[in-house]
Order: sequence, then structure tokens, then C-alpha cells
Amino acid sequence: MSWIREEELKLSWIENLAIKVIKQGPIPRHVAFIMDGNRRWASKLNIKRSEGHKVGFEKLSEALQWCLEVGIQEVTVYAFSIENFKRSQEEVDTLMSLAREKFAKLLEEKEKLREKGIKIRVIGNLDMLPKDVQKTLAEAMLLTKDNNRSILNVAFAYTSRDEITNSIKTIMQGYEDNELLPEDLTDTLIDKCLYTSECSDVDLLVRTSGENRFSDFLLWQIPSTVFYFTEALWPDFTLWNLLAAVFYYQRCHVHKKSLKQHFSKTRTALSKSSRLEKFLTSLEDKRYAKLVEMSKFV
Amino acid sequence: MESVLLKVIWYLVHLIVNLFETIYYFGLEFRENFHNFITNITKDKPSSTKESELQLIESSVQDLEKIPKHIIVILNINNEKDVDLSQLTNLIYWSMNSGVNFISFYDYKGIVKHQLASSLHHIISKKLNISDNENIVWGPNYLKGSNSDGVKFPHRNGYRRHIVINLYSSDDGYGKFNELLTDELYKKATNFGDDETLNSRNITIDKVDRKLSKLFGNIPDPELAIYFGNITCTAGVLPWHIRLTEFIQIAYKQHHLSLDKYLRVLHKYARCEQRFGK
Repeated sequence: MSWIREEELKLSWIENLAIKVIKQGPIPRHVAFIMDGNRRWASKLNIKRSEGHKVGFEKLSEALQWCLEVGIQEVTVYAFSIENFKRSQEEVDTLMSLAREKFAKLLEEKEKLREKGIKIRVIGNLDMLPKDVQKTLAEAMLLTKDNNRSILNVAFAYTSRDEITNSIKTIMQGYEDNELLPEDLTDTLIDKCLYTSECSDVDLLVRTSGENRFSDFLLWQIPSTVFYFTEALWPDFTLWNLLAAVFYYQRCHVHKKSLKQHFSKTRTALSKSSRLEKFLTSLEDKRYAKLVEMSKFV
Repeated sequence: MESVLLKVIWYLVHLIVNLFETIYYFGLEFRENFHNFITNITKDKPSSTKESELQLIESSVQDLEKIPKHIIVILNINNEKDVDLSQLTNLIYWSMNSGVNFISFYDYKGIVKHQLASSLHHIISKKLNISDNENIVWGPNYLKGSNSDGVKFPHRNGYRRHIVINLYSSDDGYGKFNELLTDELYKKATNFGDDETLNSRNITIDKVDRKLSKLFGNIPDPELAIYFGNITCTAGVLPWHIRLTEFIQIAYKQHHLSLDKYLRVLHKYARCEQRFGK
């Protein structure tokens, strides 16, 4: 099972029509998914949990294809939370080897990725992962860094509180190294140092399996995001669920726009200094250098 | 030609769904009002409403597995006229008697916080009786410049229920991080710093949590966020504090709010199972 599906998406006439109709309205640029329910799905069918995770991954590649079809340019998925390390060793190992396998597979699909212009970003505290997993993730990111037609962000070893804390740490470091002055240290600078600093704003967040909480996912980034939850378990997620989510987004669009305006007006303005620019560029360089180093692990 | 047709279908589908939604909510209200009407005329003797409310709360709360300690109410409002202060007072009264200790009101523009705080205060003291009023504690952000060391509970004898009220706007979400950074810089610069002062080597999630908690007057994270209308959105409500918060719709409009709806939300919340990543 690969990330990019070879075969053309086979849709019935009614599905095609529905996609054409929904494209008449505003389409979210960036959609995030909390892919909840793999384990519940497996226990419902009386099969192993690891099977549930595998089917969940297949669903992801299917959903990515639907997103492209609908015109969604950026997708973020919550693949593995830092809290998930608390699960049984066996399950954590299964998830890690699934990641190893899938990202290794990704590296083989280099040409296809370039052809389709797909960029992969992994957001999260990569230091918490085994070195060989780090290596594969870093390689995948470096390999696709110049693609820009569609973007997939995979949240791995991620929680929002960890991300915010890490961002404050980065800022403190900048201050201690005299790269920043006190007036540079604002909440808006926290945005710029998050793992997601290069991502666009999340327009729509979809959570499956009927839960209506965020579980420490992208808390900082979602003040104007429309939150859609569906009862469907992730492996049962269909194109119609996605279309329902986009339809709901369209219904909330006016409210969403006024929220976005409010926040762009009221958030602290970033000081426009060459000092700040220099700091952010050097941060980018440091992060890049770290990826290169990770990818060299033998 | 085709694109015009598609556009027409798009408009029609949205129109139909809007229409159905209106009918649906209208039907719900009608059913509830009709039900109340029947129960009222079939009752032998009319009891005082406050008393029957209290009885209803007590009987439906006692078998709940969990009650949220802190409820945050997200109001989707554009101006003062959109706020029904007596409904907010009801929410406070019901929460207080259900065993909720903290209730916060959030609207991103800060209309309640900046323009209606004293009116709310006034209405509460008028609508609730003296002993209820004694149990209400205004959080540190009511009336700027009041104490910042956290909530002080009034001295009381024996067991009494109390509830802390806080009012928030979007400034409290991100703005508090500004305050946090400024505080830490000040401590660093003036050598007032100690082991707790943040630096790039000692920073942890727990430390940030403790510092923010102090800035927020030691309120616990809200376990339940209730909202009106059909749009689920954080609207920027306290980004650090809502990681485990359940978001549940309470009513379509503020004036539709009723005790039944409130209790239904508490029941729904009590059924939510949290796995904490496991």
C-alpha cells in the first residue's frame, strides 16, 4: 500500500457531480484530520489492533486523493501524539514500524512525488523518536522540500503544548544569545517559531469517531478554524463524509472570515526589524541543518 | 451553461439545508414549549419555580459519574444586544447548584468582559437571593486592577457551594503569553530570577503551565465548553487550556436556553470517555 495511488480515482457519476457542485463554493485551503477510531474499528470487527492501524493508513492515502480532487491544497494529519508513548510497548512498536515501513516506501516513490509536486513535512518533537525513524522522516522531508503543489503535514510525536513550549524555548535561546531584544518577544513571535511556522492557516479540522475535543492538537493555530466532527470511525470515513465536512465549512464561512479578520487585527504586531528577520532566517537554517544531520544517521 | 447549472444546484442545496435546519430547531423549541405547557396545567398545585428547579437539578445530577469543575461558555455575539444577561445568570445559578465550581464566559470581542461586566453583576445580585449571592466569587479579571494572586474565597462556615465567575476575551488567549514573556524577561533583567525563571535550558511544559496558571488566577482547565448556534469553533478561547475540553452545543439561540437543555449537556459530558492518549 503506497502513499500515492497509481490508479485513477474511480468515482460514480453522483460522486463526480457532488464534487463539481461543492467546488462552486469556497473550498478550504488547508484541512487537518484527527484520524480517530482505528482501534475501535478493529475491535468492532474482532481483528488485531495493528490491522486497524494498517487499514487506517490505507484510508489516509485514499482521503488524500479525495482532498486533491476537491481542491484542498494542504492536509495535516495527527498520526502520533506524544501521549501515545504511554500505550503498551507492543502497540508503540507496531506504530513505529508502520512509520518506518511507510516512510521507506515513500522514499521509493521519489519520482511520483516530484511529478505530482507533493511536499511532506513532519511536525513534532522528532528527538523523542528512535534514531532510525528520525532518519527516514528527515530523508522524506529533504527529498520533497522543493515540491509545492500540494502539502502533507504529518504530526508525529506531537502535542500542541510541547510545540508551544518548544517555541518559547527557541525565543528564550535567541534572547540569551543576544539575537533578540526584549521588545521582539511577543506572542506573535511564538507563531513564527512553531513546528508549523511554514504551514498555512488551518481552515477546517475534521475529527472522526464522534469525539468533540482537540486532544492537544494545533491549539495555537485554530482560532478561526471550523471544527467538524463525525460519528464515522476513521477506517469507515468516506468521500461523502469529506464532502459533508466541506459543506459545513461553507455554511460557517462568513463567521470564519470575521474571526480571521478579528485576529489579524488584534494580535500583537511583529516588529519589522532586520534583527528579527535575521533571527528567523537563522532558525530556518538551523532546522534545515538538523534535518540533514538526522538523515546521515547510520 | 454547465457552470451556471452547477452554481444553481449549489445555492439550492445550501438553501434547502438552511431551511431544514430552521424547521428542525423550530420543531425542537415547539416540542419543549408544548411539553412544558402540558406539565404546567396538569400539575395539582403550582410550586415555586426556584424550588422545583433545585429539585430537578438535584435528582438529575446525583447519578452522574462526573461533573465538570470548570465550564466555559463561548458566546458568538457581535454587540451588546446579542447578550441575554438573565440567561447567563441562569447558567451561573444552575452550575452553582450542580456542583460546578468555575464558570467562565468568553466572547472573542470581549463584549461581556469590557461592556457588560457591571450589568451582569447587577442582574445577578438582583435575581439571586442573598445566600446565593454570597457564594459567588468574581475572578481576578473582573474589574481591572483587582488582586492578581488568584481567587480568594470568602470565609465561610461549614459546607457551602461556591462558584467563581471569570470573563474572557481573545486578549486573554494570546495576550497572556505576552505577559508571561515580559514577566520572565523582567525577572532575568533585574536578577529577581530564581530556579523557576524560564530560560532555554530549564523550560518544561509543566513550568509554562504553572506560570500561566498563576497569571490566570489558578483556575483549573475547563473540562467542558458550551456554545450556542451551529458553528463549532474555538474562536481563540484560551489556547493553552482547552486540550482536553469537550465542546458541546447547548442551544441554537441564547433565548432557547432552558434547564432541560443544560442538564442534557451535563449528561452528555458525563458519558464522554477520555483516554489520555492511551
